[in-house]
Parts: sequence; C-alpha cells; structure tokens
Amino acid sequence: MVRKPILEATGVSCGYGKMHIVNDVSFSLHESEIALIMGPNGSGKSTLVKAIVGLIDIFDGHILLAGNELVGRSTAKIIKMGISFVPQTNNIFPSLSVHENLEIGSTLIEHELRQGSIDEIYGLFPELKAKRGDSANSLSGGERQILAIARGLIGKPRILILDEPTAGLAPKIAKNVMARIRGIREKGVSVVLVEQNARAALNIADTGFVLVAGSKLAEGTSEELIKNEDVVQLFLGRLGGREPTPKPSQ
Amino acid sequence: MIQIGDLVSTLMNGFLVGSMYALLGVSLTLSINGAKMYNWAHGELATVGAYVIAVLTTFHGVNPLAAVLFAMLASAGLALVVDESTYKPLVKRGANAIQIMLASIAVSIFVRYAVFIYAAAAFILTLKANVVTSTLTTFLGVQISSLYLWIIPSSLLTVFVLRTLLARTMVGKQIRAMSDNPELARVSGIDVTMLRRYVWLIVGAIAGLAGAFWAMYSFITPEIGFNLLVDAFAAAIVGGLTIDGTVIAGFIIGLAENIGAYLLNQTLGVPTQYKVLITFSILIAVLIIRPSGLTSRRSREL
Amino acid sequence: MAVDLVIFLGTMAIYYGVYLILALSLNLEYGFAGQPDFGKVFFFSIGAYASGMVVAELLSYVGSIPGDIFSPAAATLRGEYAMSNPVGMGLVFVVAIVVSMVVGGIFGYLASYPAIRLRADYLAITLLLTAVISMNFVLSTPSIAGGANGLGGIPNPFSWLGNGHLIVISYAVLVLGIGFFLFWLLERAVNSPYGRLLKSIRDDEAVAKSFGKITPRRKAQVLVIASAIAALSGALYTFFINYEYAGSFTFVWTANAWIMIVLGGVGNNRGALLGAFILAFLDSTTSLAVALVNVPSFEISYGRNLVVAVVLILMLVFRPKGIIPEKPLRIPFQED
Repeated sequence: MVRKPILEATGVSCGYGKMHIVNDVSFSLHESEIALIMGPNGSGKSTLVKAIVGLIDIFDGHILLAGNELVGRSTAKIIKMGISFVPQTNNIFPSLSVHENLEIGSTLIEHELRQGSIDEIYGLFPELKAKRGDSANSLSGGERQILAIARGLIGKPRILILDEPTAGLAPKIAKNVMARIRGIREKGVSVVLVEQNARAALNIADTGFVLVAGSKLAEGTSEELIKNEDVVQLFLGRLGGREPTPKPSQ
Repeated sequence: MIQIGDLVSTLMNGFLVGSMYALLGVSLTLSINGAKMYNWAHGELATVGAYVIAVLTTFHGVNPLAAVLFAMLASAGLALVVDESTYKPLVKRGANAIQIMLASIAVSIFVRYAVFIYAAAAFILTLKANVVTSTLTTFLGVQISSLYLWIIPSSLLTVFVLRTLLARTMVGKQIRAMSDNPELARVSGIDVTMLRRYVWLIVGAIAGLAGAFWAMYSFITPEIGFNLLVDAFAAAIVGGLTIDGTVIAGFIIGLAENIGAYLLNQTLGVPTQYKVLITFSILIAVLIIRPSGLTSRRSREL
Repeated sequence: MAVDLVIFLGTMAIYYGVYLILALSLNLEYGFAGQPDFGKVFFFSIGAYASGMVVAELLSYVGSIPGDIFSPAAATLRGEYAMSNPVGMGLVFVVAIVVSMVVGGIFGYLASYPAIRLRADYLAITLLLTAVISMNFVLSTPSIAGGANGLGGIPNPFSWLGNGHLIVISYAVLVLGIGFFLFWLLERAVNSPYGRLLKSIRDDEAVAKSFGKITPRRKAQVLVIASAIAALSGALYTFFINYEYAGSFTFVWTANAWIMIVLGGVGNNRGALLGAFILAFLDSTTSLAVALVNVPSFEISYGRNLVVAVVLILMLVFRPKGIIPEKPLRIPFQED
C-alpha cells in the first residue's frame, strides 16, 4: 500500500542564533504513519521538531506540508495549517483544570464544535474525563503526559508531533502511553515521535531515522532499524531483545 | 489612649484604603503574570487615573461617574501605548529581565515628570477630585461618608468581574494559560500578541480606577502612584501573585498599616507617618520567610 | 547676564566626578558581580546624611556653635567657621568622608543579608522600595538629617580660599582626583584574579560555584564596597551643594547611575567615563539654563528628567551593549 507523503523535509538546517544544531536533514512522513526520530541526548531531535512548528530558526532547507511550504511561516500559521506540537516538558497548563487544558487545546476549533471535540477526546481518554475538574497540577506524571497529548490532539491535527512523551515515566506507564499513541494513528493522525526509549517506540513506529550530532545516521522501516547493527549497538543494547554481553567486573 | 471611636474609624479607613490597595495590587499581579515582567511604571497608571478624574471634576464639572470612566480609559490607553512602544519591542529583541525593568523605570520617570510639568504649569501641584460626598450614617460615634459606599463595593465588584472573566470566559482562560506557559499557549494556537494587548488594557483600567478612587479619597500629587507602589507590590507578593491572594493581602495591608500605625501612636508615641514602614516590614518578612506568599500559584487556579 | 565660564566648567567637573564615582559603584555591583541594584540612591543618600550630620555635630563642638544644629543661624555660623579655619574644616571634611563611607559600608553589609537570600527580581524590588521608604522615613524624622527641612550649612572645605573661582577649581580638582584614582584602582582590580572571579560570577553563577569559591560571601563583600563608594559620591555631592535634603534623593538618582552604565556598556568602566560626562554636561547646562532663561528651576529639572528617561529607553532599545564596547579582559600568559 502506497501512502501519500504528508510532510516532506529536505536539507533542513536549523539552530539558535548562529549555532547550527541540525545539518542538512531530510525525511518524510506519510499519512497515518508513525515516524520515529531516535538519537542520543543533544543530537538535535527536539531542535528539529521545534523548527517544524516555527519555534526555532531554520537556516536552510524546505519543509512541505501537503505541498505547502512551512519554512518562514509563523507558529500560529503552522498550527492553523494542521500541525500540533506537544513539548517534552512544560506541556500542560498547571493552574488550569484538565477540562480547561482541553478547552485551550480547542482554541482553533469553531465555538459550536468545541464541546463535541472535547467529548471525543474524553471518549479516547476516559481517565481524563474522570478528573476533568481537577487542576492539571494534581495529576500524576503519566496522567499529565496523557493530558498533554490529548491537548495536542483535540484540534484534529493532520500531524501530531510528540517530543519524548514517555520521558521520566515508569515503564508500565510508559507502555500505556505508547499504546495510546498507537491508537492515535488509528484515528488517521500522522505522528512524528521523538523518543529515547527506542525499543518501545520501534514497536509502534512504522518508519524512523537516527539523528546523531545533527545529522542522519540511519533510516528505514522499523523492522529494518531493529535489525540494523549500528542502531542496535547504539540504542537497543540492554533494551533490545537480546541478552546483554556480560561486562568485565567493574 | 485608645478610644473605641478612633479605633473604629481607623478600622473603617483601613478597609477603604485596603480596597484600593487590592485594586492596585490585583492589576499589578495581572501584569506580572500576564506580561512576565515587573512594571515599575505601574504606579503611574494610577497617577494618570487620579489626575484625569481630579481635573475633570474640578475644572470641567464632569459627572463623577463619567470622570471615573474617562480615568480608566486614559490609564488603559497609556498602559497599551507603553507596552507597544517600549516593552514589547524589547521582549522581541530578546532583552533580559533587568533591561526590561530598567526600561520600566525610565517609563515611570518619564510619565511622572510629564505629569509634574503639566501640574506645575496648571498650578495644580496638589489636587483632589471634586466629588460630592455626604455623611451616610453614624456608627459608634463615627461618621461614615458615602465614599465608603462607593469605593469599597465598587472595588469588590471589579475584582469579582475580573475573577469571573478569568474563570469563565475563553479570553480569561487564555490569559491564565498564557500566564502559566506562554510558549505552550502559542503552540495551542492562541494569538498571544492580541491577548497581551487585552491584558494591558485591563491592567491599565483597574490601576486607573484605583487612582481615581484615591483622588476621591485624598489629595494627590504627581508622585501618588509611585508612592503607592510599596503597597501594591506588598499586596501582590504577600498574596502570592494570585488574584485571590492579592485581594486578601491588600485588605490585610490596609488594615495593618492603619490600625498598626494608630496603636503604635497611642501606645508608643510613634508618629503615624511611619505607617508605610509597617507595610515594608511585612513585605520583607514575607520575602525572607515565605516568598511564595499567602497562596502559592501552583495550588490555586486564579 | 554673562556666563561665568570658570564656574560653569568647574561645576561640570564636580558633577562629573560625583557621577563617575556613582557609576563606578553601580558598575562594581552589577557590571562585575551581577547584582542589580535599583535602590542605588539609598546608599548615595546615606553618604549625604552622614556627612551632613558629622559636619553639623563636629562643628557645633569644635566651633562652639550653640543651639539647634538644624537652625539657619547655626548654618551661617558653620559657614563662617569654615572660612576662617582651613585646617579645622579640612579635618572635619576628612572625618565626614570617612564616616560616610563606613556608614555606607555598614548599610551595604546589612543589605547583603536579603541580597543573598533573595532571588534577583525580589532583590531588585526590595532595594528599590528600600530607597523609596527611606526617603519618606527621613522626611518624617526631623532628628535625622533635618527631616522635611533638610540640613543646610555644610560648608565646602575650600571656602577659606574666599574666591568663588578658586573654591570651585580646588574642589573640582579634589573630586576629579578621587574619581580617577578610584577608576584606576577598580580597573586594576578588574584585571586581577579577584576581578576575573567576579566577572565569572556575573556570567554564570553555576560555573563560579563549581570552582569552589563561596559566591554569597563574595557578593556581600562587593555590596559593602560598592555601597561605601556610593556613599562617598553622596558625601562629595553634599559638600558641593552645601546642604542635604531628603526629598532630593529620588528615584532619578538611581536612574542616573543606571543610565551612565548603560550608555557606556554594562561592566565597562571606561564607558562610565563617557556616561558620567554626558550626565554632567546635561546637568550643568540645565543649571545654566535656569540662570539664563526665565523658567522656574523645577520645570527645567522636570524636563531634564524627561530627557534622561527618553535617552535611557532609546539606549535600551537600540544600543543595549552601550556606546563603547567592552575591552576584553587582559589575561596574562594567554594567547588569543
């Protein structure tokens, strides 16, 4: 089955001020696909996805959303075009209630349709409905991540970008979050997933690539990546399906 | 000699002054949370409101209610103009907090001395709003002027309206969201530029109202707003930078200042001009012991 | 009315010295140690009050001046004493200056307690409000520096010279000498290991801590020294205008200090040289205008403040790094 590409990035270089963090990276995301961006800390994963939504300066390259150029546009415009971004940290409004967080997420939805969209989200995430009146600050780590993702999802974006949604979560909760992300794809939303937790992510991703020091190291479908020696060495090690080679006593 | 009559009138005065501190403090809190800066020119917003009502009622016979509205409009406009011309461009350029504070100091000096020049030229260096008050009733030997009936309920009503705006309307929720997390607000599609303008208009209007009330209550000079900054900041910080907290703190400070000054005067002979030292001490104590104030922002919604 | 060039230039020179010392004080505090002091005028005023009170008290003892030190009669007598007792007045002057700096340093030390405990923005609020409150406090307390009436009759130590020109020139030389000496001293300190440490505190507190130096103690030391210097400036100013009045120590003085270091570039002492000049020029032409033009003096001073405010805003928006760029630190044994 050939999926249409919905997001195409070519030769993107971006960074802060004069510092180039990401150099000449190209990738594409197809409809109803989950694409994974892996890499060690500081490799530029967050920078790259923030650049897609216009929060970071792009020095070179193009990013096309269904044929429309994103580079140079304001964040507000990019959001309106159908991309939603969930940051790694500070991704909810702590002093607002759960329900209000979702209301803010529905800012761009027409007034009459708002409640309906929020109800749909409650259907997807019943635990949020149970706590709709609670302050977002009072939620547990896992619930906050769910809320952050829900806020990003409400506007029915074409593309949802998730920056390390399972960071700092206990493994069982992380698994739950991953399962929810898979469920998002079923709803027709394409997902760009940035993750350190490579193994769990590769289980739900369709394709992906590895970013190291701002450049692409390897790419392919998730099956290809799991089998890729370099990738396994770099990231899957202990988390991979194999037994770790015993290290000399330390 | 502590007299009941004096104590009661001091208490009443404390409430009256406290309600004005609450207004000035609440608008300051809103500007700190919404614009993410400390605006040293905040007092001048009140000064302008005070002068507008004083001049309009004294020299042009304008109806007090209309004059209050004009005062609020003038201050709201000033707040917006200042932000658009000075603060916003600085933020855009990536100026740090100290530079922005410095700019607000410059704005404060500019507005204050502009008012000085005007007041000196018009020979009105001290002035009061020409608002007719009548004695409503007498309670425990103390005359209660109608001023109390205007100022205290109006202040409470204003705070109530603000709270409702923030809690129930979409704009209010967006303002709260922006106060929590400006970048996430942008990313959610909120027009933060427009929202910032609304915030300054509201801040200016409420500060102008506080100034207008003050002009009804007492004589004003071009420094009146700046002198009230101590109480405004005390209310905001002791209140933990929340709306509710600031209002409560405003009243507490108004009462503490007045009753404290009275008691210290009667028992230890401390001159009442030192009342502002009481406020200052409260502020320092809170900053050192419990900087998060009465109510921490994390746990409250407003 | 002809312009007395000597008086004009001499006045400007004295303002320059006073402003330079004030700027150096703030530069030390914020430019090098990274502590924003929005209450500068407080320490400046301490110097003024202290020197005024010392002079008044000492002279009433040494010069046998009876009665209330705050009375105009006493003020006149003090002036007369100074004119006929050069050595006596000179000694009183020195004592007053020293006491001012010590008292300034003490208040700086007191201020270091909140300064260490509070984060930068709360510190700024505290210092600023302290300055506001202290002005009101002194205005309401007649026994401190004359309260709402101020204290007059603080004679210039050179008044025995008799000739107005000579007095102004001599005092200008003194003030400028002190100012430039301080400048030289601080420039050397900046390039010392201590100075580099301070710069590192300014640039990154975490980095400085990791080197094992106790940042809070150092900050307190800087605050004490900077406060003493600010008090010195206030004292020298007081001996120039011959009176002190609490109501004159407004926010504008703090803004003066800041605009000088912004003009020159924060942390840059050479910039302070330029900044002080611009302000001194502005103030002396203002005084001149007051004498020449028939506008009330307070109107002109309001206008001057407006100008200062506008310049500060323009500088912040267009030239936040200052007009003079910072000279890179001279680090010995290091190649670029």
